[in-house]
Amino acid sequence: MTNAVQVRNVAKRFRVFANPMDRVLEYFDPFRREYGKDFWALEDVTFDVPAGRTIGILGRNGSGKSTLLQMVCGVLQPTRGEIDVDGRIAALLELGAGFCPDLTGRENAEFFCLQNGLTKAETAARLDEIGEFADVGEFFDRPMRTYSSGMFVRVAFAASIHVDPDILVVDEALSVGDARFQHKCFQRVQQLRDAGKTIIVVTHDLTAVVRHCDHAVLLERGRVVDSGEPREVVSVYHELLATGRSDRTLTQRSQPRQDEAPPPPPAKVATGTADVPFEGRTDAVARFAECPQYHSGELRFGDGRAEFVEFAVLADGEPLSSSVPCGATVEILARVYFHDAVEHAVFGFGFFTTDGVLVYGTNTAKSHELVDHVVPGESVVVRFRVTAPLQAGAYFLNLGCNQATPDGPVALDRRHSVLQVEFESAAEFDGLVDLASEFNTVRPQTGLARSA
Amino acid sequence: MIASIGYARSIVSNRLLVEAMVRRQFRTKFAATIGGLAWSFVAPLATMLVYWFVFSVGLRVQPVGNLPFIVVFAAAFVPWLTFSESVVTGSTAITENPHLVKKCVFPVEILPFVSVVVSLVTHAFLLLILFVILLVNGVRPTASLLQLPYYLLALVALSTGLSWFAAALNVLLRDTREMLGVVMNLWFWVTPIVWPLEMVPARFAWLFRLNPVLYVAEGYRDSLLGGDPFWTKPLEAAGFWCMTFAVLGIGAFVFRRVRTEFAEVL
Ligand SMILES: Nc1ncnc2c1ncn2[C@@H]1O[C@H](COP(=O)(O)OP(=O)(O)O)[C@@H](O)[C@H]1O
Ligand SMILES: [Mg+2]
Repeated sequence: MTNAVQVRNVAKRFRVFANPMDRVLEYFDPFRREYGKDFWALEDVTFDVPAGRTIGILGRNGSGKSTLLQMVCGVLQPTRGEIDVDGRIAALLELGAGFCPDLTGRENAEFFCLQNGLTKAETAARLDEIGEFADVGEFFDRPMRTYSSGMFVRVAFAASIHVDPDILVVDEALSVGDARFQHKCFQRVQQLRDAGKTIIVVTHDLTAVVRHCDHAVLLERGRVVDSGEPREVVSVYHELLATGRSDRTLTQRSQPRQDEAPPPPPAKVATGTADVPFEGRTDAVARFAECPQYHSGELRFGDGRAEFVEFAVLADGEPLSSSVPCGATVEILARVYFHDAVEHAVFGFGFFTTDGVLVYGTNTAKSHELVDHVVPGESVVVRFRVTAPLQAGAYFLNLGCNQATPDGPVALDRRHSVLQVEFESAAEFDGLVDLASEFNTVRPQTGLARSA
Repeated sequence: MIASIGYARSIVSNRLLVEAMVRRQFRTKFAATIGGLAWSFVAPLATMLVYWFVFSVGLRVQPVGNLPFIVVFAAAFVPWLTFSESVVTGSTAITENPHLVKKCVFPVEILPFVSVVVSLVTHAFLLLILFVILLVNGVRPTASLLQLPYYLLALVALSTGLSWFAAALNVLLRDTREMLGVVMNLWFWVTPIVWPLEMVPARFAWLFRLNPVLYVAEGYRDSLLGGDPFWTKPLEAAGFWCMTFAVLGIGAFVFRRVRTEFAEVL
């Protein structure tokens, strides 16, 4: 497969000057003296974008995403390394960039088309489509100065997806506009994907990354820290946001510490039910792999002061062996072993579809059930019980244990996609959740009413 | 030189975009004012009136040959105005369009040229006024007028080269535009437009002839006032085009050299 974009060992250096005059001095200094400092916005970035793929670039603010896209578009030149682009690029590096407020939406769209190499005839053919897609009504023929920001965005986006590029580059632009327009944008992105176009997006809409991207690249401080399957990269990004670190060592953490273990106190149950599962065990031995629903492709991170050691999934009180029968109450049990004392432990869980859409998530902080002051060696058993009338299929569960601090949660042990549970569904419906709807059809001509 | 050929190609292949850009400049330039386009030639017209008044009425400058002063002056002043306007506006072509430079895939080398083309539109109006002045003063167009496009081309080539240079420099050094104002003022006075070249001693005349704008200014006079055709002055032509190609080459070279920094500096 050919690559539409190849990024090879790319580094970008900016010269930073205390005042603008220094730049000029340095430029013309006959002795090549230095007046500014180096700032490396990107270092050693390498990745490929195969033709026809959609890739998402993630990273915190200032991690170099925009700089990277600017280089792919040829607006900036890499200081080192090479970027090869095969195909015509349409870029949306900033919404409405290059749009002139004195011109009407139509004129700007026309300008955009010409700018992206369309001929006059092609442009004329597309203008109406753009106006229709942007859906700004008669405003399309009014100066863009008079637009609301939402309308501006719509015209800008509409124009950029109608110029028929081989490669579409979008920087943080998909997540604007109202929900309906966003939906339309993603539909269009899907069409472009189906048409074999290559798409590179920067977005903070992580659900969209998981849903629409074939591949994701995570940047941090100008370096690629992860690259691969979007769901995994998104998890690493979550970890990065939660802990500020990006090393994945915790995923391969060795045996739990068993040294200074004091006599273990009895297990606690967060939800307060009496029967204690896991046969009353309170040791630190990890048995989670024994759970039939355990998903070894999980993503795990946290500082290790607490660990999920055991899981169990019950349906209607019975250990689950196959799929969850329709309408059954599902219980997720987990035992968390604490290596260190923790004030304010919070436990949470979330249901995700296989393409990463969060179906439902909650935690004990949301239900005001903080577990205060856990001592070292103590175990806490958490039980979540839900009745989930879900669409049939496989779901992933995230489980997590955080410490609540005034500065926000600190991840102790976060397990993304740690359990995989199959659900059955009796009713036939579209969507994720059975909202138990009812249909009434009336045929007034015959005066007959029927209920279904 | 290679750079300027590449850029010339780019202008040709992006001609639709140049056209759209020119239209757009017009909109932004004239949309907000009531007088609109009129302003762009009211000011030069006023300047012309002042010069005419000062030199013809006040200082009683004698008619040049058998032509009134105003006619000889205006014929050279009009190309000068366009030259100076296109270089000065060309110098801000990049700095005034940071979005196109930083956030779009855009052939920025066409921007200084676009400024030149925009000035040409005013130039067309100025030429109209010039014809009125000529007719009022009893000057009839002759076959010499046919060579005007040649001198216009010369004007455009020279202005474009300088605009590339000035636009690139202005990105690094925002004072360029202000400095250009001063430079243009001085340049105007060393060019024999309000004063005849015969004023300088013959042995220094060649020095003033090095000025490429003089070639264009005299060319306009030749075209409009029925002077010699351009092929009767091969030496001047050779000198002018050598200089203009050098300016184009250097302008494009500097532009290309600084271009990689545009997006970083703006
Ligand atoms: N022209 C520039 N000059 C100096 N530093 C810059 C310039 N452009 C970006 N940077 C710096 O490079 C880093 C990466 O910026 P950017 O690519 O915009 O990040 P992101 O889009 O991921 O938020 C930031 O620290 C920013 O300050
Ligand atoms: Mg950015």
